[in-house]
Amino acid sequence: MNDQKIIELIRSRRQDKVFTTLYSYFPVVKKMILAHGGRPEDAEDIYQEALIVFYKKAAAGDFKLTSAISTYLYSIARFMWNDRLKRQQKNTFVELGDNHVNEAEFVPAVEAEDQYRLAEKVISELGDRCCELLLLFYYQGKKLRNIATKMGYNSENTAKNQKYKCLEAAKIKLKSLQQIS
Amino acid sequence: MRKELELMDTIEKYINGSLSEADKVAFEKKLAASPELQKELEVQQQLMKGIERTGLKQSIKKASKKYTLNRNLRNWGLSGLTVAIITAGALLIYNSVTKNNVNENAPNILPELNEQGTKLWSDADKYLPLQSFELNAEKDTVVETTDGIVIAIPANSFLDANGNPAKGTIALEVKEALNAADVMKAGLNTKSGDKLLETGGMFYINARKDGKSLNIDPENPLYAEIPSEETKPGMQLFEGKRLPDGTLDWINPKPIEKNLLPVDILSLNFYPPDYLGALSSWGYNAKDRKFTDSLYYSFASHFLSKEAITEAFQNDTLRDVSTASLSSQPGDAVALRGEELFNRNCAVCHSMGTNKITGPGMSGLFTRVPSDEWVHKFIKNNDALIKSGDAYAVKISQYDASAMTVFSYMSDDDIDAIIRYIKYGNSIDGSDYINGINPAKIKAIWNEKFQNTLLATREFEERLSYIHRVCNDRGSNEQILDLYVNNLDKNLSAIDSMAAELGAGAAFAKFALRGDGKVKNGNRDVRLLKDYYERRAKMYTEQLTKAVREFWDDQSEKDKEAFRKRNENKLNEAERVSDNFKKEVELNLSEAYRQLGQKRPKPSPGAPYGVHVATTGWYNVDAFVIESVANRTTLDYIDPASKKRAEIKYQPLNISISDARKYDRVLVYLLPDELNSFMRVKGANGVFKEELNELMIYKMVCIAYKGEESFYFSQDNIKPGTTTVSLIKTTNEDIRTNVNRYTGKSQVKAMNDELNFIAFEKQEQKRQQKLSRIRELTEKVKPVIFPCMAAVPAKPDSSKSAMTESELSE
Repeated sequence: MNDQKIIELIRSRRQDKVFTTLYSYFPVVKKMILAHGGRPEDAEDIYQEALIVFYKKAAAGDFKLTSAISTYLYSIARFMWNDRLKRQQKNTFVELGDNHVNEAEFVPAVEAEDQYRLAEKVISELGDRCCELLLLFYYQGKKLRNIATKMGYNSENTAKNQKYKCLEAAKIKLKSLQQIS
Repeated sequence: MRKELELMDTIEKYINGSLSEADKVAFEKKLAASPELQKELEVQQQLMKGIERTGLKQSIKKASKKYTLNRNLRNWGLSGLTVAIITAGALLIYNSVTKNNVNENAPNILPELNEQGTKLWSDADKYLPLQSFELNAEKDTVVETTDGIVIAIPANSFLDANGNPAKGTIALEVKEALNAADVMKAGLNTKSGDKLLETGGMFYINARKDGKSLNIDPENPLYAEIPSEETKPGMQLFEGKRLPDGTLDWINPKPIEKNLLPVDILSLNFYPPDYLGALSSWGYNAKDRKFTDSLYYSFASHFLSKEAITEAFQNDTLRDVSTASLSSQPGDAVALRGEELFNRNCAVCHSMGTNKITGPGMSGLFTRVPSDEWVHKFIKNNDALIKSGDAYAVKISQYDASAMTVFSYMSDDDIDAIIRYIKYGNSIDGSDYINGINPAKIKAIWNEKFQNTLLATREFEERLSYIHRVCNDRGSNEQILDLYVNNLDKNLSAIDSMAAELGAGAAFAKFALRGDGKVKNGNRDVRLLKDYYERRAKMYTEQLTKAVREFWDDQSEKDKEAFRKRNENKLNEAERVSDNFKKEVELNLSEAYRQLGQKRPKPSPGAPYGVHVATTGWYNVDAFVIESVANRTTLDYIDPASKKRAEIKYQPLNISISDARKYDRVLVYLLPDELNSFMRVKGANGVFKEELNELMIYKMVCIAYKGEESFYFSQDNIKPGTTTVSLIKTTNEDIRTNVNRYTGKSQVKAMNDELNFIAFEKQEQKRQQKLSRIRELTEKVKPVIFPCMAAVPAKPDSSKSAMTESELSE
């Protein structure tokens, strides 16, 4: 599958296929992170974050691919890993050549994603049904009517009401967490 | 719908832009006025992002699972094949314009010329599908092939025909046959000449720019990793040579270079191989890094070379090192003099080791003898000491009949110098008698500075455990260590070869065959590190030597202080006993005269007691009283003139301590009301005996110790007879408080002095125990730390090596 095809798939929201394909670049990133003091879990975590950043960039209409996707992903991951090393005050960095993807291109996106981690945590820790409901509606863009049928709600309205209740619970949780931090 | 839910609905519509224009304006107006609403909006926006992330993560996790599954299947498939050995690089050429595309079905149209400019093509060139990657030659690029070969291409690693780096877009071409099916399909054989090879996979790499083939810059090579469960020892890379019959012959085998994975250098073990194991088998806490470090590094003091000492003195590094007794002379002068004295006077009969000549070896001497003072006495006049009944002197004189020479002329300073030499040796020539790696060198590399270098790898850790055990004349283990540290920019296997050439042994030749490479993207400042290593090793040696000497100097000061205190205490004790005696005689005399109905004559000044008085008369009474007090026996005196009787009874007191055996030390004191001091009650095995003077009222204080625990008991008005004491556990502070409260005013000072001395003795005893443990441990651990010094040199365990001789010869 070539890179342009991947971008097209992302824009048509067929992310499952995209991620399966892109996972073939994982070994390279894993090697890089393991070679610089990371554990396999770190590699997995960083690569998944890199995929999210790349996915969102690519989904945005104005995205232009300036290098191979593999190189692009590698750069994001490397940037994130260096950032983490810096925060842990380690001094072994993955060397940054000037011969790579321009970091400025994805740095804001990486930083933004970091901010959304808390909200993600709140959502993923909601009850299973709440989580499924919210994902079906907001992430997969399913119609309330279909959701009501699928999840066994009496009416579209019940589903809608339930959706807001779930959102409200998440809101309260997020606010309290934000206050703590 | 509730109000809150409605608000969320509105916010949601605002976020996705589905509010009507009027509603939108109204909402934004409200928003501007209300920080709460702004917060609500922000939180809701974040939640939307959170939901998106949750969804994406779910998709990614699914992909990850699928990927892992596939990967495992692939590895399973390969594992049957990695039984052996050969990876092959065949060089072919192919013209392609496909962009990053694995064009599996494209016909293999071969260009006219191969990469060597000939028209020779093999079957494999024709059958294996091409994978082509288009990349910028001026950038670092990493690609992975269909079957999982990962190729890292550094920027500018391709050179054109003129030897200049290729610019711009180039095509990287890869063919691979990693499993048996592909190998057979491609008609590849696994023969090298007549020998049949087993294969771990074959691949072909070429790059071209505008149809012309490029060369790889040998200074800046590609790095390819071929998927396999593990690199088999002895696996080699062969080059493929096309033969006219369409097959390939595999030639020029080279060891496979393996990149090394740096780990946290502090997590590695650079100690001599058996060090930690030995410590824990002796019951020490081998996990206490502070302890293991300080013990190991303390041996650096044996490595200060003569030159280094001279230099250090010039640099003032060691000038302030005080010495045991000759503070005006450097410590080494004392040790040197000690050595000279020892050689002249003692060496005929005593070795510095453990072997017996005429007399015993001096190794471990100070773990055996009672004290340094004892050694002084014994050297000066061992005969007198034995005759005095000194327990240890008697014991060793029985052990060996040949008597030691009496060195009565030897000064205390000289004996101190000998003691110092026996204790610490002469560190100036230490390198002569310790054969091994200076621990300061290990300290110099085992730190943050060497993170991310060759040394911070498990591979080096393994080498080092062998280096510690290199014991031969050609290449000392220290030289081998230097070799590794000074060649950080080379491949580990290259250093292994150099080590083997230096005579480090067969293990290193085997290491070399593993083909271990270097740390990719490792620390580049190797030249600086080399310098750092040399400087630090020297500096640490000096510092550690200084620290070790300071420690022993300090101990030696403490020895002297203890000696002084004990003497002082002995004097005080004598004085106290004599005071007590005088007081008691005084008391008894007064009483005796009273009973006789006589007035007591004034004692003649200057010679009050026990003086022979030439005249008859009262002196008899005095003599009897004195004798009675001295012997603590009842006075029963009848005055010959008046026939009157004077009687002062002394009656036995037996104090029996319950469970006396459980205490390390039991002290019993009687505090007679008439005296300004106390009486120490003698006893053994928990039974203490004293004769009580009926004229006095006694209090009793018992103190006992068991390890760090203290016990106390006190009682008033002790009567003759048998008293049983059950000690009560308490603290040292409480003992002090009780004693102070309990003791009569006049006795407080004496009792406190006594308690202070007991505390000091306890502390001193602990110190001595600690020192003898240190000495004992130092002696014991030395052959472990320096395996070449052990009687039987520890041989590296050959079974630990991954390869056997037979494998090597293949």
